[in-house]
Amino acid sequence: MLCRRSAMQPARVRAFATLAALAAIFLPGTASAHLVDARFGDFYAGLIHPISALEHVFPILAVGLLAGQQGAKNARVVLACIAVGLLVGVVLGQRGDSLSWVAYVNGASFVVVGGLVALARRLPVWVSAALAGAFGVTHGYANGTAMRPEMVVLNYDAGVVVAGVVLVSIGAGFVLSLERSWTKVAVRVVGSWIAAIGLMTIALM
Amino acid sequence: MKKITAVVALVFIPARVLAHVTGDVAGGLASGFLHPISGLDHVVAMVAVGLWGSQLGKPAIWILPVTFPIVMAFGGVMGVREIPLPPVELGIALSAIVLGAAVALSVKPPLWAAAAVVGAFAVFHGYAHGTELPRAAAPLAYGSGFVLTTGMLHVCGIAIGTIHRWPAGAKVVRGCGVLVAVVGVYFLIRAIG
Repeated sequence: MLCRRSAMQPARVRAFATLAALAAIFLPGTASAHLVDARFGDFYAGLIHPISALEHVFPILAVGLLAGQQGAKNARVVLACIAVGLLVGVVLGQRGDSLSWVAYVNGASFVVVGGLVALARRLPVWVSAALAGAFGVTHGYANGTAMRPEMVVLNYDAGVVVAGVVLVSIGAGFVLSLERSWTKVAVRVVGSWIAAIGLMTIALM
Repeated sequence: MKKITAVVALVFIPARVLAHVTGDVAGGLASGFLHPISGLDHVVAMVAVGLWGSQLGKPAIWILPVTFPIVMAFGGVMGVREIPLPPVELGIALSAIVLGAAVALSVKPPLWAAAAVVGAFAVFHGYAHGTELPRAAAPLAYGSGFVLTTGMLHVCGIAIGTIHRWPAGAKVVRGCGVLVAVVGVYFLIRAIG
């Protein structure tokens, strides 16, 4: 006789999977020294910087939450735009100097994107795409200026873009998997938190 | 549910995976997390916001947690800029008394009135956190910490408040309101005396 396997609902599987992915990102202790010497560490550097610097991880995650709120079709467009934006930004940032207004725009990205998540409005796809692209450029730029000269450019850039894609995918995927109304409210609350953090940050600049 | 809890717990084990760790960002984050819960007056007032939201039901139960952090951030900005405000400790003690009384008496004003009351007190609470911000080791981390902790306290209040749909639970929630108000009175006396 076949035993009936206990099945989790698809929504819970997705939620669990995204949380497991998050845990996998934050669990590592040290990166291997030999890989760093072989300059693969530059990919790690690019990967780790956006997701471990609070001034980047919150707004990029917020873009993911916003994307999820827009529905799957629009979310894919936003995902593509953040990838392109980050790539353009990091390439520009490597060549250019660190610009002070970029930090202000990155601070504003907390408020704008977090605020939109809190409002939970359906936006025209070009609006969310443009926001993702623009803030992708500015956050990518900030990551680009953080690169050290001896790093291999391609590895670092790839790392930054992958980090952004992963964050937005996790955020959007998680939001898209939510079904109960209180969970959607919880997402709006998280957006409000991100906007609040941004307000505090700008006040100090 | 257990699996999800385990995974979430795992995410928070390594506190060291932070860029620019000069020992400061993790420290700033930690001190930000701890600041709201370092004062009992803060804690009870935040929980009372969640309790009152539960009593008021929709839409207050979600409007309050969504708008509170942003209004609190305005208070925080005022604190950072050191814009003069009536004594903050008094305001926070009063917030505990008023919100605790509202929960204890199960007061149900129109939404705009409840939002105005909560908003006014949010400014005071944010101000108290904001004054510490410039001195924090890593200001962004500190700000993140206290916003997240405050939000978690609201969630606690709402979670406790879910029992109010049962008659006995409603009485328990009102009893919690009494406790909050009593704590507020203690802090008021301490602030004045």
